[in-house]
Amino acid sequence: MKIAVCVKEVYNLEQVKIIKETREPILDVPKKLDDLSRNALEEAIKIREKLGGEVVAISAGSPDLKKTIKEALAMGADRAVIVTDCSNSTPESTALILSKILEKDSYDLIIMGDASSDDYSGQMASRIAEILGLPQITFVSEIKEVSEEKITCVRDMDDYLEVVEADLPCVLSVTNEINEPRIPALKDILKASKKPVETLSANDLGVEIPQPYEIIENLAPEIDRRQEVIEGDAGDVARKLAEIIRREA
Amino acid sequence: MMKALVFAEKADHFNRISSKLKEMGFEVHGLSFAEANADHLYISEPNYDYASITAAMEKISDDVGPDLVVFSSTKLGKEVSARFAQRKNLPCITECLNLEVEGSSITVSRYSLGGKTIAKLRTSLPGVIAVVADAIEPSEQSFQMNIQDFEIPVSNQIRTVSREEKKREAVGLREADVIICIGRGLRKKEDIELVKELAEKLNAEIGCTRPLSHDYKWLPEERMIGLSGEKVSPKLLISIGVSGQIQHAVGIMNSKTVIAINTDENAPMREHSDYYVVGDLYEIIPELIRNL
Ligand SMILES: Cc1cc2nc3c(=O)[nH]c(=O)nc-3n(C[C@H](O)[C@H](O)[C@H](O)COP(=O)(O)OP(=O)(O)OC[C@H]3O[C@@H](n4cnc5c(N)ncnc54)[C@H](O)[C@@H]3O)c2cc1C
Repeated sequence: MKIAVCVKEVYNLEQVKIIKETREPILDVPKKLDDLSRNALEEAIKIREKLGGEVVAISAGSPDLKKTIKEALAMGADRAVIVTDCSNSTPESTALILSKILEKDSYDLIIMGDASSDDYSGQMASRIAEILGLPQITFVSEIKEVSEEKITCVRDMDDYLEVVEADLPCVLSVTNEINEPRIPALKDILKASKKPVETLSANDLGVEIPQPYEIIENLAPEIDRRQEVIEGDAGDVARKLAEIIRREA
Repeated sequence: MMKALVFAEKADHFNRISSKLKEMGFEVHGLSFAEANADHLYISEPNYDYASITAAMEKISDDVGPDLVVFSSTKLGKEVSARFAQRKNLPCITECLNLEVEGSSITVSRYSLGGKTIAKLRTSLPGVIAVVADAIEPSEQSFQMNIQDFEIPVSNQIRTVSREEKKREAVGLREADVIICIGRGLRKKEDIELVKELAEKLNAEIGCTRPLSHDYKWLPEERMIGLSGEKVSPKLLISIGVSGQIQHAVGIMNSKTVIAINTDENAPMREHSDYYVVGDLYEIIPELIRNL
């Protein structure tokens, strides 16, 4: 079984601060592998553990990817293919680039998160499946059965749960709840730096990066909370709280 | 006149979206599973298969020649919007909260950076968007209401084995004056009883973070607040054992007053609180109930 996992680097959002006067975000913070990408990797590794084969992590992003991708290798991907000159990516451009990489090999399964925790756009599985002419199973919350030929999944949709099956090759997107991603041990982290990483540019792949839209502004809403800290003995705190609640409710 | 083509699997979503488009001056064409407001409406049997709906929208779009194709930003809507956009080689923006047209371009806003910021994006038409229907205030508009039946082409890219409706509870989170929102600070399901007791005293609705509804399934999904759940605006929100990560916090930003109780004096929740109690919920809640 040959499995590609499309992963994404994201800013460590907890560290993103906002400039008070202009409401602009300060994006000078470290990047990390997105949570949903970890769910996708975990599911791929589980399938490899059962059926054998290879898990390849694929990503398009900034030059920081050279570092971030190690997290995927530490979790258990066998190798990686990355494109590091697409810092200002959009779903449109990323889908084109990832598809170019995916076309070079023949994968049985292509797995990714159902959205990323920064943009939450949720387009990648559909776009890649369309470009490659493959079926897609999105919002997968459980893989019930998988063989070399066929996969059966539970999809967690807004108002219904659905069991569907498809022949391989197939594109899957998984939810945040599908599994609890493993945390790599130190030895896995050390091993990760020896695994092969192929680094490409959009140019190498012959992809012209589309600019489908213009960002007019990207500002944080005013968060103007008092942030009054209340501490002390539970009894005192509760009395103070009761007073505030009576006033505000 | 510019033309818009709409698909929404729920008539309520369809009507919100079509009224907004009409207000903006579009002639509204659409595909739906029940009668809904449009100038030209195709009605088909319900179908929840992405490949079939994509093919149907492609066919209608080729006939109509829309400037803008609009989906409801549900899971199905997002899935189909992106597949359709890729097939037509069009830009697509999902999770749109607002939209405006200027000449031959459209400007939308959506959350960015997990909800830390709101981005305004401009794209030229033709284009595809998926709109959060609940973010649109419906308006009274008059439509031509030309209706015809439509048969969605059958696809078997994937096969549905079974489908089960989720059980829904009517939850009034969006209308509530007081909300108590609980997170993983709660150690076990039984402890929700303690919170319920407090909620009864305050006539409050109970909301929760995503792990409680989606991982542990302690509460139904419609009680989940945040980026992927409800956005609430109560007079008072009491947040208990919630870390306040941005994907959650974006859902409580329109609350008038926020009180939080957390053992960690520096949880991200602090920034989103008017009153931030540093302490153990298991000590404070029983005392609080006694004081109310
Ligand atoms: C794409 C995406 C979308 C998401 N959408 C949403 C969404 O819509 N809504 C949502 O909620 N989440 C969402 N999440 C998840 C979100 O990022 C957080 O993981 C989640 O909100 C954390 O839930 P929590 O605060 O309950 O748990 P935790 O982060 O584990 O926080 C628990 C808190 O409880 C405190 N605590 C522990 N014990 C006690 C005690 N005895 N007394 C008081 N306090 C205590 C701890 O200090 C901690 O701060 C999303 C994530 C992704 C990736």
